[in-house]
Amino acid sequence: MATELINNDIVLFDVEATTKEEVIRLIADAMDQDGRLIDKEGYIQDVLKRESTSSTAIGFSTATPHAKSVSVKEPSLSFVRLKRPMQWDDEEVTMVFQIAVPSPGQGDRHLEILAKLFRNLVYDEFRDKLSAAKSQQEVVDLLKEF
Amino acid sequence: MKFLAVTACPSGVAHTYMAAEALAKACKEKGIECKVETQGSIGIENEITAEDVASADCIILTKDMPIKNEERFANIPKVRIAISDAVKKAPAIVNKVEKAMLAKK
Repeated sequence: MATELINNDIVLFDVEATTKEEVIRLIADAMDQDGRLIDKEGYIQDVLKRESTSSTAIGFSTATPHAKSVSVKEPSLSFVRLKRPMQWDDEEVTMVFQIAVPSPGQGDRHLEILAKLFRNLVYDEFRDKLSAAKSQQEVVDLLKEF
Repeated sequence: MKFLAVTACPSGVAHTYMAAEALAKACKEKGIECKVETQGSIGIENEITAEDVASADCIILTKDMPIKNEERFANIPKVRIAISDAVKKAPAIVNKVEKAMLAKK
């Protein structure tokens, strides 16, 4: 069972997708196979619901779909690099960070890590390292540092 | 010049912190003093005090979520922005607010 916020199994490279729902579902599949979700479809619906309040494509060619949800078992951070840029609402996106956080909360450690990650995301150097990473482990190491 | 800001987004997980950092970074690059309070899923961090309010020129508030304890800012000029804009174009927002504040002085 997964206990780390992120591991190699939920870091995906060269993902081919044309819609954001496709990406969200692909990541949910990976999270589910890793034992991180209680109810995959419920989690997907919560992520889509969050997307519908305002787009999580936040510039920097990055989208950050996320949900705090009763359907989530383990706090999880997934990273996806797309094979080709895709349209995510009004933005063109090449990298996706997808987050699953259990609700009600189970302590705040994972939230602190996520807060630090998102603060780092506004810096070019950090994003450059993620786009240049050659292995899943490199990404995990980069994101685990927090 | 001193700016304050409070960021909050619907699930409190991602945008809250990106917007906070983007605004802080944009202010720093312009040499503007800035304190950003986050109202995210960890709770309130870097809370703005009465002294901060007394010494600041204005406060930037994200408008996607009700801001907690907003009455603290009753006597200071407020600028309301969408949190996604705070992330995407913080430098432009900071420039615009700075211009507006300079015009007032």
